[in-house]
Amino acid sequence: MAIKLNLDRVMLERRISLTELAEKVGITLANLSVLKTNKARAIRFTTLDALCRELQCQPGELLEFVAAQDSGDENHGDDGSKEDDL
Amino acid sequence: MESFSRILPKLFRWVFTVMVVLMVIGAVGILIAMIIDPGLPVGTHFGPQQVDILGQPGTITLRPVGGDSNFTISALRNTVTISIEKAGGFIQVLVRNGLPVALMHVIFLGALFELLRRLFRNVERGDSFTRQTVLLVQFVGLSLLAFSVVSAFGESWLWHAAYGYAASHATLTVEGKQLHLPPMSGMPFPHSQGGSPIFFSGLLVLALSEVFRQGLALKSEHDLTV
Repeated sequence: MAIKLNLDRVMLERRISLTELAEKVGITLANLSVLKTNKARAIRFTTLDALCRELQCQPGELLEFVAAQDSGDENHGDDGSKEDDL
Repeated sequence: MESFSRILPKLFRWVFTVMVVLMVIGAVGILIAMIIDPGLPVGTHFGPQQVDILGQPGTITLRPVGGDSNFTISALRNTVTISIEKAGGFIQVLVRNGLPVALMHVIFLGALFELLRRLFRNVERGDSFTRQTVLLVQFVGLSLLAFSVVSAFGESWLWHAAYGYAASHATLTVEGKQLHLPPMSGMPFPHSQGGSPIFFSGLLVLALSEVFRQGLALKSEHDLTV
């Protein structure tokens, strides 16, 4: 995925823990962990809105586009995704 | 209505569990019968038993002749009679060719019920769209396709063996005129009473497996949407 979420960096700057942020944003710790480790395939605007509100930042500070290193990176997909050969 | 739809997968799982057990018992019974290789005891007699054939009175008789028995069916007020000499041999043919076909059916049904049991177990757990479910549904579809072909040949083989024996030992009498069944020539042509519906059911299930696969993709996408 070329879109990277810099949640860990912003959390470090704001000195807020994962548990605290999850509680304030209103999502589970597991889901926040999915976001933090860049495993998420999509993010809802409501979630992004809550994150920016609690972290007092802009979406651009959280989201970053990283160009693919090589063509192999573009085909990496989770189980059941279109890229997978089932 | 909601509680009923929640109970349904559990109910189906239990039904299929019972069916699997019954199929296992049936398979063991058939295997025992194949090992014992039962035959018609010498001197067996039966009837004449009055029966209703095509709405007309008829009779069924089994009478001992020599070391075997003759089997006779009379129908339409005795105007049509089918007589099979050495009925014990006919029973042997049916047993030796029919029991393996029956065993194949029972094993297939047992495997099918087991796959369906696992499928409904997953559905009961809320894991309807998983890779395992997709594979299960695909396997059910492929099994149905394979079984429709194999059972057609099996049933045709049984019919060929039974007809082959009947052709040399059976006599059809119509209005006093004796007719003999023509010998069967050539290879047995696959024919099955239930082959086509099973084949098309297999195709339908394979199509459904594609639906499940797409459902899995959507679910994965949804699960990783925060």
